[in-house]
Parts: sequence; structure tokens; C-alpha cells
Amino acid sequence: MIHLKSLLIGALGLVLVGGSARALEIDPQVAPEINFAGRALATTNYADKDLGAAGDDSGADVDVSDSSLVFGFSKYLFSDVDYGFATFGLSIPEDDSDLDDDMFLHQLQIGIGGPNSELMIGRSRLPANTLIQFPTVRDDDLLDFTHVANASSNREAEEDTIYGGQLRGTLYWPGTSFFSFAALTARVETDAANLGDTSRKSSTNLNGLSLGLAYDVPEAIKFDSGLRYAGVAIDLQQIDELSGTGEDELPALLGGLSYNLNDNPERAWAVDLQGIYNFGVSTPDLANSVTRARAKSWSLAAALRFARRPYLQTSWQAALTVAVKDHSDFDDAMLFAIAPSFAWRLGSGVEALAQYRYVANDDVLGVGLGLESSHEVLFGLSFAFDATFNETVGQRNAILNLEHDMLDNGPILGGH
Amino acid sequence: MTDKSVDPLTERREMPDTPRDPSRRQWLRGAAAAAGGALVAGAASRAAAQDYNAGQGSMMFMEGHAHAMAGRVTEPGGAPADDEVAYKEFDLTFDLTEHELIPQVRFPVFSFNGQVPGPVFRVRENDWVKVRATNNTEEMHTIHWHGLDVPYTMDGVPMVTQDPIHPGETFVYRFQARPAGTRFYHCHWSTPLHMMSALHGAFIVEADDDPIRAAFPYERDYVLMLEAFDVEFTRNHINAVLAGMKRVNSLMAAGELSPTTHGFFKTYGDFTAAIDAGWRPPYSRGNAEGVQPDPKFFAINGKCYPATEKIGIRKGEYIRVRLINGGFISHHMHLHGHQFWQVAEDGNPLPQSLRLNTISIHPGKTADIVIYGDNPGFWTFHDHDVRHVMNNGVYPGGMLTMLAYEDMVDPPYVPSIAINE
Repeated sequence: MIHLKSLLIGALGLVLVGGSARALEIDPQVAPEINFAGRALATTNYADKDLGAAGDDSGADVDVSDSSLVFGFSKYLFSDVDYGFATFGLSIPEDDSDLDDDMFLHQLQIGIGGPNSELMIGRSRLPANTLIQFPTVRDDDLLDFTHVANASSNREAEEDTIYGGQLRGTLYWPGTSFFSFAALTARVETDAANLGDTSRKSSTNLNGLSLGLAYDVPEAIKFDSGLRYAGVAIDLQQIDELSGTGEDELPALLGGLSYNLNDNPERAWAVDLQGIYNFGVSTPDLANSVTRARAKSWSLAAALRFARRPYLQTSWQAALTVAVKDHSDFDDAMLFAIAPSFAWRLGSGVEALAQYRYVANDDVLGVGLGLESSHEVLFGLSFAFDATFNETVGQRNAILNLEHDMLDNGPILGGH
Repeated sequence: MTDKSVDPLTERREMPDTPRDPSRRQWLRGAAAAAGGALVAGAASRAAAQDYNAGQGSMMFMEGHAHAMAGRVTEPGGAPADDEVAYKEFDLTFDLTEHELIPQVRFPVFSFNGQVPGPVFRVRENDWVKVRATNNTEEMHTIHWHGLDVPYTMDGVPMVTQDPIHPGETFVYRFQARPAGTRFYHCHWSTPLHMMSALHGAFIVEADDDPIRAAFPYERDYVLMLEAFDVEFTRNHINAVLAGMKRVNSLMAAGELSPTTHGFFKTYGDFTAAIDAGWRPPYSRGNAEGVQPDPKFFAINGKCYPATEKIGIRKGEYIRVRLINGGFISHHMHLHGHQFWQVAEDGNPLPQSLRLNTISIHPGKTADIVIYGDNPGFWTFHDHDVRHVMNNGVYPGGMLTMLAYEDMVDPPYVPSIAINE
């Protein structure tokens, strides 16, 4: 790990010394393809929490977190198969996040790609702390179960777990539906020796390594029964010891799959599964996010989805996600969640949403967290769009590329 | 003036070499009856249309229309059987291929026999033609014989004269090649995409007593298919079509394809009833994609300048050039250094030729010109809408070729290639 980091820093140093601080000439008349995507997500939440010894707490709020805007730019290089791209994205953190900001720069990346590979540097979703996007309304709804937590940050901020700096290489091999990746990652760090200090110490320090391999066919193309996604990954975090005296390594293994249960595109059943095994390091308790992230654990999450698509256009989707996690080195430290959700398509990109979420913590964990269980109900609206201007670059996940060997590749931009 | 005493249907039946095919006469009588009804009242016409026997229409409306179409050979009625006339037989395939317009510009297309444009048919007037059209793609197709007077069941208009040709299906078109002249053929399914990219080809019907050849004794003729391509539109829509057809074909195989799934309705009343039931047509507000093709590449016979082929001529020679607009925008072809004759339009000889140096070819039109080799040299022949003489906005390119004299000796200047002026 140290060697990798040293090599990388040396290489970047050479580039910076030898290169110019300004861009080389730009052809202003050669406009890039522009992808403009966004999602406004607003819900009314009602939560009823059993805080254990502290009693009960309940309340309602209006939540606009996870709303986002993403701008993507791409153009071909000196051939029509090699491309460059850049992405800028802003999202809204949760109101009680330790980020204390109204906006968070969750995407800022630059990359180049070719027929069989892609190299990206910048900030984005970490490549191997989750493999499956479960059908919950927000990213963090089951975060404890679905993501490898950031073991270097003691902030209460989902962004520290989901996003991070990275230098990522992706190899599309042995076929267009397969890819493998390797990434050096930079998770946010707070002071490990002083957990009470939740101020950000670094968001750029390379402190992790990720490797992964997956078979992946976009759901928009693969609708018939059978496997649509299968992937495995290793996520390795390099962490400062809580004693402040040294460093340790925290590996985690992930496996996931998505399987279409039938081949009726108007009534589609699908199941998503993911398991995470965190090898853990010695940790004294489960009282805060860093110690929980460092504790040995396993988690399983599964979702069953049904989409009603009359006229081949999704009208509504109902999903049930269940998840369980156990901190193996602690007794009574299991947690369980169930989250049925419903999305009703009011129009293109406009949806009415509803979700119920129940989370229960075992005694030890509940005491540490100060939360025995919680019920949350939310209703809301989502307005999402994904527009492309000056369309000149292909799409790697297009059917012509995936099934007809017509090289028409480009970055996978858009999304939210 | 039209002689109203002549029943056009009867007159049509008496054209030379028309087969004495009882089944054909039978539906002509039916058509005459329907036409008579149409003169009475439009509303009555609509009601009559709804009374058509569903069993004679699209199979897509039949109960439990689960069909294994791959390998199926559909031979519609309306033409003589194989043992009644001597057919000239042809095979066409619908393919998904990648086509190079010019070096560094390749894009996916639907093509006939894997080539752009499709192969040129050359038959004699009144030949009986049999074309086995096999669909090798996951999309549906038909063939419309543009400018040919074929039986209506061979006209290739989906849901009007036939069901579309399904993936893996072979549809057999039979017709008599008439009238003589420069005709063409193109897919009539999802025409904006399919005709443009790039299911079109020339169909030349030669007459034994061609008045044009008599007036202008030419030996060589050239076919120039004029085309406009929006490669991004094509790429996007083929991707979308293929993804959508996976679902449609799956539902069809399961016998669960519904009218609203594919936007097919037996009657106008069924269509409005579906809307009343909650179906939203894709052109409606909030549903419409709203994207129109905006071509940036313009081609002659599938190639953009400088990849276009030259037109050869010798001094003292007449050549015939058949111009076909295979696309959807107008072109105005200008020949330098010559006054040519326009001798035919829409394939039909003009009563009097026109002396021109620029000729407009609008969508769906064909024009035949004759050039006389009286000015040796190298002469540009191009669309004078100069936006069409560009490759992706870079001039020169696109719809530009050259009339080149082949018998010049030691010309004082020879052409080279300019890519960006």
C-alpha cells in the first residue's frame, strides 16, 4: 500500500513539474457533448424512535437531501473510439449531517477511455464499498447494511462513506458485458486519536485500494429472466490506529447479484442480493461510527422488486428490501431492517414516492447507538431528468456496443 | 382533361400483360364497391372500415397471436402463382451493419444485403419479379416499391397492406415491373429512420422501346442515390428500437402483445378507446421525444466526398444519369461546364426534355438526365445547397462528385483532394 502511494505521488509530481499550470490550446468551436442530469427529491418524513433508556422520540420533517445536479462533458480524442470526459456534481446533504453545508461536491472527475479501458481521477462514488443499488428512496436509507463504512471518519455524514477521491482504472474484458477495476481511494479522514474532533482532517490522502470484477448488462437491455449482474470486490482501507501510534489495514469482501425472475417486460420481477464481510480490526466498542466501521462484521441485503410496465413504460414499482448485519466480535450486536417502498410514475421522470423503514438494534448495539429501534414513514415527490446536448459521443452500455460489436463507446455519464 | 367516362379501375385492368387472375379481379370489385361508399359520406366510410373482417387483416389482432416467426415464409395473395408466370427471382435481406461514409465516420445502419444503398435491380418492363425478403434483424421491416404499380398487397405499407416482416421471417413480394423508368425501393416501416438509414435502393425498369435511348443514343448509365444521414439520430434510434423490440418480440412470442404495447389498433375507435382507458400516445405532451433528424453527412451512393465515385464520360458520348432522392431533404444538383437534358421525372419520360445545368430533386422524386460529352475536363457535380457539400460542417465534402473525361490526353491540370478549405 505504501509503495503504491509513493509511486503514484512520484508520478504525479513529475507531471506537475514538467507540465503547464494552464490548459493547452482549446478549440472553442468544437463543443463537447453535454449531459445535464438532476433529481429534486423532497419528502415528508415521520419517525418514531425508541431511544432505550432515554425514552421515545418522534417527529416529522421535510427532507430534501440527496437532491442533486450533475453536469457531464465528453468529447472524442483523436479517433472516434477514444474519449475524454469530465463530470461536476452537487448534492444536498442531510440536515443533521456533520458536513454543516447546504451543498456537497459529490462528483468532480476527469477521465479518458478507449475501446477496452477507462482511466478516471477525481471524486466520485467509491467503486467497491457497495455493488448493488437497492430500491430505497435515498442512498443512506440502509447505509449500515449496504455499504462498507468509512473507518477513518467519525463524522455523521453519509457522504464520507459513499464518496471519495480515487484514481481508478477499468478494463472491459473479456467481453463488453464484463469489467474489472482497480482503484486507489482517498476517503475522508478525521482525527482517529481524538474521536471527539469530527472536523475533516483530509479528503485527499490516498488511504485505500479497491479491486473488483463484474458481469453487468443494463436493466434497460436485459429484461428477460436470468442473471443481469454479478460482481465481487475487495475494499481495503488503510486506517490510523485509535491510539495514534500506527496504521492498520481493514479489508472487506463484497459479492452481489441482480437476477430477473421472469421474462415478462410488462410485469417484471427481479431480486437483488448483496453480502459484505468486513474482516475488522480490534475495536473497543460500538459507540461511534469509526469503531463500528472497524468492527468485524457481516451483512446481507436482499430486495424483491416488481415493476408494472403497461405499454412497456413503468407505471409503478413496489419493492421490499430486508437487511441484516452482525458485529461478530460483540454479543447482542446485530441489527435488522425492513424497508418496503413504492414509486408511482406520474409522468416522465416525475414520481410519487412512499416508504416505510423499520430498523431494530440488538441490546449492545442499541445502547451504543442510543437507539433501540425506529419506525419511519415518508411520502414525497421526485423530479428527475437526464438531458443530452450536442450528442456526439457514443455510450458504452448501448445495445449496439454490447450485442452487435459496433464499437460506439463513450463514458457512462448522467445519472444522479 | 380527364375522360370521366373511363373507369380508372377498369382501364387499369386492361393494361398490357396484366394477368387474368381471378383473385385479383375479385378484390378490384371489392375496392370499387368501397370507393363508391366513400363518395357517399366520410362517416360511412369510417364505419365501413371498422366492418372489415379481422381475419383478413393483421394477425396482430388475432386471438392469442403467439407466432414463431423465425423461419416463417409469408406469401401474400394478390399475385399470380409461380406456375402461372415466369418470375425473375431475387433475394434481399434486411441486415444490421456498420457503414463507413468516409474514413473515420462509421455508423450503424439497417441495410439491404449488407450494403448502402441496396443492390440495383435492373429488369425489363413487364417482367414478373419475385423478391424473397428475409429479415435478419431484431427490428421489423417492409419494402415499398416506390413508383411501381404493384398489386396493393405488395405495396409494403405496414398495417395498411401487410403486417411488418418480423425478425427471422421471409416475405415474398411478387409483382410485374411496370411502368418503365427509374424507380426505387425503400423500407416503409418506421420510415424516417429506416429509409434514411439506409434501407433504400434503385429499381430500374428498362423498356424495349425506350424513347430516351432513341433520342439520346447512350450506352452507359449511372444511378446516383442522393442521401442525407444524421448519424447520431440513427445510432440513438437503432439502440432504442433494438431495446424496445426485445420487449415487443418477447411479448409477441408469449402471445401477450397488446395494441397499446405496440401502438397498433384495428380501428380508429379502438385507438380512441385506448386513450380513454388511460393509454397516452407517444406524441402527446410530456411523452414526445421531439427529436427531428438533423443530417450532417450527405452522400451519393453511400459515400461522402472525397469517397464518392466519379462519373466517367468520353468526348462525343451520351451518358444517362438517374438521380434518386433516397433521403428526406431536397437537393439541387449542379453540373459544371455542361448543359444537360432532363429527360424523365418520377421515372416517366418527359414529353419534352429540358435543358438545364441545375436540377432539383425533392424527397421521393427521381430525375433522369442525359449529359453529352462536349467539354473535356474535370467537372464538379454537386448539390448547390452548399450546406450539403460539407462533412459534419467541414467544406468540401458530402454530396459532391465529378464528371471526369476518360479520354483526355495530358490534361493541363488534374484534380487532387481538398478536405478542409
